[in-house]
Amino acid sequence: MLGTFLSKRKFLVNNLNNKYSSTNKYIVDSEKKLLEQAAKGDSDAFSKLFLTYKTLVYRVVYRLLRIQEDVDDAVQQTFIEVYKSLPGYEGKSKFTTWLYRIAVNVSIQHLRKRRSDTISDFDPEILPSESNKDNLEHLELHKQIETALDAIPIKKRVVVVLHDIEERTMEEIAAILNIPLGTVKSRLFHGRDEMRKKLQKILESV
Amino acid sequence: MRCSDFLKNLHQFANNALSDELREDALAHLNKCRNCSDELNSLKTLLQCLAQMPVPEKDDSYWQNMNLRICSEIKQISRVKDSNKSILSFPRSSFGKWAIAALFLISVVSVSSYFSDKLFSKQNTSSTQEISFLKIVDIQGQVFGDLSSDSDPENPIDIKSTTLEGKTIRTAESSSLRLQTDDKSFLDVAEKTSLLIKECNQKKQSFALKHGTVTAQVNKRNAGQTYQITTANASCEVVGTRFNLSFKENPDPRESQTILHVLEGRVLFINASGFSVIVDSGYQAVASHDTIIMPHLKRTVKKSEKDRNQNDFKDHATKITSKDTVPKDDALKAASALMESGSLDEAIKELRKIHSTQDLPKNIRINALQKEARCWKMKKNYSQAIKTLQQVLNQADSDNQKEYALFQIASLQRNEIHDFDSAILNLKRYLSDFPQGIWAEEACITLAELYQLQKNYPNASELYQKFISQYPKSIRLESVLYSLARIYSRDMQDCNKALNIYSQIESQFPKSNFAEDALFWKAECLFQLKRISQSVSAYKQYLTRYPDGKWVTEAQIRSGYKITAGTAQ
Repeated sequence: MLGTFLSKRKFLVNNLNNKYSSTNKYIVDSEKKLLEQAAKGDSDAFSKLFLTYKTLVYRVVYRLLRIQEDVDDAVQQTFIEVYKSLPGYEGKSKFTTWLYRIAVNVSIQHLRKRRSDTISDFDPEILPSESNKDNLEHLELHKQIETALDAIPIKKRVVVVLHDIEERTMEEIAAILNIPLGTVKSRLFHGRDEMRKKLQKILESV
Repeated sequence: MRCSDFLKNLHQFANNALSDELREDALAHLNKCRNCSDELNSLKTLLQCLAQMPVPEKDDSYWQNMNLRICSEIKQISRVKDSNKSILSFPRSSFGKWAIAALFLISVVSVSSYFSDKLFSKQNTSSTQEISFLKIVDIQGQVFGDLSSDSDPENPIDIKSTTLEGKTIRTAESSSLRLQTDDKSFLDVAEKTSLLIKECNQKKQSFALKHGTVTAQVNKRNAGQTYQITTANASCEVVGTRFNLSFKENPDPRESQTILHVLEGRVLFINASGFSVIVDSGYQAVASHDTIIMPHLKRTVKKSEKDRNQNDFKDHATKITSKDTVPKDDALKAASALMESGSLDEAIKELRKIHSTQDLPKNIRINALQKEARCWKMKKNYSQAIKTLQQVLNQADSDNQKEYALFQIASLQRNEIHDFDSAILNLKRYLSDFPQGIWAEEACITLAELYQLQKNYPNASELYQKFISQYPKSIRLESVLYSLARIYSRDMQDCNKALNIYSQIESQFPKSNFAEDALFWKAECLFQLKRISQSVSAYKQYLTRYPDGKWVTEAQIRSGYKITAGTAQ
């Protein structure tokens, strides 16, 4: 009898523990509860949030900032902002949308600060080096693309990163940045075009 | 489709977002047009490269450190939130941009001897429930402290004196004292000064300046937190600033003067007759009973101007030049004045000269090093501050100076540069070298927290146990007990030990913030130990005590299951 009880109990506990990886509806419910607990200041719940979303935040912040020191600060700041703002999160948008919004805003602050701190010495046209002409290594290509990405205006860069790298939909980007869909499209297309112009020779050689 | 039409739709085409009809047209155009085909290929290559852009993977230690940094920040936020929970809030300042900058208000108190006597005879009123941060961080020369009036014998105090609340501190000639009043606030008591420490805890920091001069460096206040210094004819309430306040006593109370010199931030200065001015950073004003004088402007406020826009007063005060404030005959004092005026680079130069002057007594040279470290901290150059403190540690003969330097180094490593491994080493060294040190309690708990966050649970639990046995009356006891219990139950799977501690929290601290969690986890431990009926009883107890608690759902499921199982059987 006790054995039956214990096995059922174990099942229940396991079920509770694994609820985050169950059905979609369950994910929403459990996430809601986790958010509620974290909003009340439950450090265990907030740690779970951190563990769940750390990679998402790191990825987008890294792609926008890329300087490790800034990335570290921005990731930390993002989670601090999340902690402070959670009580005000009403669930009107998806949590990830809300989280992206904070991460992007924090990153933009860093980019603006960086822009005011340093004068860009970016060469508007990036040419492949001699060694690249025959066989452009992927790493080198990525480096050049990152440089070109850094050279386009922040607003366009954010949209390009979210859409073409993070694979967010335009609708979601509009919600993240709180801008009209048309503005997202415009920024995306202009951002891409500016990058293509800067990378023209390299893209042709690939 | 023409080239211009295709290029207009290029991005939609690349995103597969065109209608079927347009897509057909575009494909047909691409077959014919080499230029547009190149454009598309170039865009596709770009998009392909963007999609494959790598993000460096981070190992566990990176995330551990990140978690530590975030936890450390959150802990401070939580601490402030907790401190605001049970106190009456007051409206925040509406100064806008000044809200971030330091701001303080000075309001007037009666000059009557009755009030004055009452004010100064007031003894320690702090609640024992409040956390006191008050510490002496630096003493120069002779300083005395006693609990009663001026006529009583004076007792010398040293850097290890801890019970300061309710005492009147007196500094002798050429002596000074630096007090730390909270995490980031300091109060410098100048020579020949008498200061009553009325209350000093998280919520309220209150002092009475009987005579002499103090310089306050006050961290930004949160709603409900007050910082107040009173004199016989005025009082200052601080929201966050650095200011210098002197009270010159006169047998005729109407001739007594309160001199305010604002180093950082902005001050509303009101005297006993209700006259007021705003004094900005770098300016000074002198209040007597009937007037407020701006000495360099030769302007006297003769009527109450409280209701006028405070900005009107911005230009009324006069800038004080460094020549006015820097004593020329004392290099250390001159350097201190430079620090106070914010000329940190110049201060560092002066302090280095003092330190390298071999003829000077060693304690003065070490003191110069300590001040230099403070300058680096103020400049937020923490690595340099640590290097300077290392010099103090290596060169100082005094244990007090060594102890201070070592703890400062560990604190900077943990809080500012997040070098947790070095912080652990230095905290261990501190506890080994200064087991009875004034920061030993803090070092012990900090070290335990660092071990816990680095998942070194055996060491963390050992230190928490040490803390519990060494500091049984500590105000942090309940939090330490809870941390230890969580380590046992969650990380070391020792439910027996955890159960004892959760029960201790429940009985010893029934109203603590940890009581709710402790009861829930106690029930969990009982379950793990297969003491089912006791476990269910504990869950039900939880539901009764905390009907809106954060573990209600879990407790309902667990306790409800017992009933269902019973029914089924």
